[in-house]
Amino acid sequence: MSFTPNLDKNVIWKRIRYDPEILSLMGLTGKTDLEIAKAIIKRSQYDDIVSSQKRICIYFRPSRDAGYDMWSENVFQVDVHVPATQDYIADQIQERIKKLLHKYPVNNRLLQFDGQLGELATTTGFVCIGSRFSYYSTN
Amino acid sequence: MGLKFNAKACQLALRAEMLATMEKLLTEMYMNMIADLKTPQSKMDVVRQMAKYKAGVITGQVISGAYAIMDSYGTGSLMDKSNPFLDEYKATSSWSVPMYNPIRLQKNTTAILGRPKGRYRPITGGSRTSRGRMEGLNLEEAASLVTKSGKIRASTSVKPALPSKAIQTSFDWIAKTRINKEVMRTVQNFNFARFFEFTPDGR
Repeated sequence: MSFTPNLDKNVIWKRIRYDPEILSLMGLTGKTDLEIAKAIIKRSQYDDIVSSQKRICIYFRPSRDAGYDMWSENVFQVDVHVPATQDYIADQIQERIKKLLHKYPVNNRLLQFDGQLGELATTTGFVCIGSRFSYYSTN
Repeated sequence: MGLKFNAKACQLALRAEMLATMEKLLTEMYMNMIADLKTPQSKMDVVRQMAKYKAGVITGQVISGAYAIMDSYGTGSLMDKSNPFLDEYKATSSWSVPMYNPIRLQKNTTAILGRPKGRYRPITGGSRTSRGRMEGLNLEEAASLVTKSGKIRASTSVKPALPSKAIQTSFDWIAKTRINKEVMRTVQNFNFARFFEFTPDGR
């Protein structure tokens, strides 16, 4: 139950990356690993998204005080950037992500859906919707 | 045999717990805000004040300076016009040493334009003087930067910035999601039972 952000992020990324429904919504079915890796990334970056691309960003937020020295509450965020003309797809992707990750065990820790953030900053012509998940680890 | 409840001690203890909860929420708001602000300058422009209790109210603040506000709400033609401080800022164009460029107000645009000749007050503080050579020119468009003498000053072009929404997102997250959860948790975890006392003589 120790602090392992690299392992945890990889598990979360794989859970999303290999889901057929996510790939279909992102328009990535049948695409190469490289194209998928550019669309589902493990950091927050959106200034290089172009035209009809969609992107999922998975990254950690500042931890929360869990009330005990031994524990921290880790928080990560999943942002979905889509062209503004397809804003409904962002909601569908977030819905699927919640189903994939809520109560999902990641390295013996249970993820909890922490709520959605609504519309977030993104590049011109795009819409971004984010949601957060949390889990506990020892310090 | 009697049962006594020490309401005053309970109130003091619960107040201390709520103060700790407020501190925790302020820390979370602050950390999330500076995580989302884009530049080191704007991150350093956010100040967090300790939560305190005064006259029956627990208060706390996270104060954002001009750089943080510009980062969060954007600048120029890309700024978020729902900025609640925007009208107040625009009203400064009528000051004797204006902050908001009066030409932007006249042309009804938020694009960054060259200032008229004279003194002005930048939003970041201090005082400057403009020679007016770029007066009214759209500084966001390099091609239009031709001075009165016909020279192109492309190096003076200024890029507008998209809003990072750091302040808005952080505040909304705490106010609409986290406060209720944390306050409920504080109350549920609070041990009210320790303020009850059994008294053998019924007093």
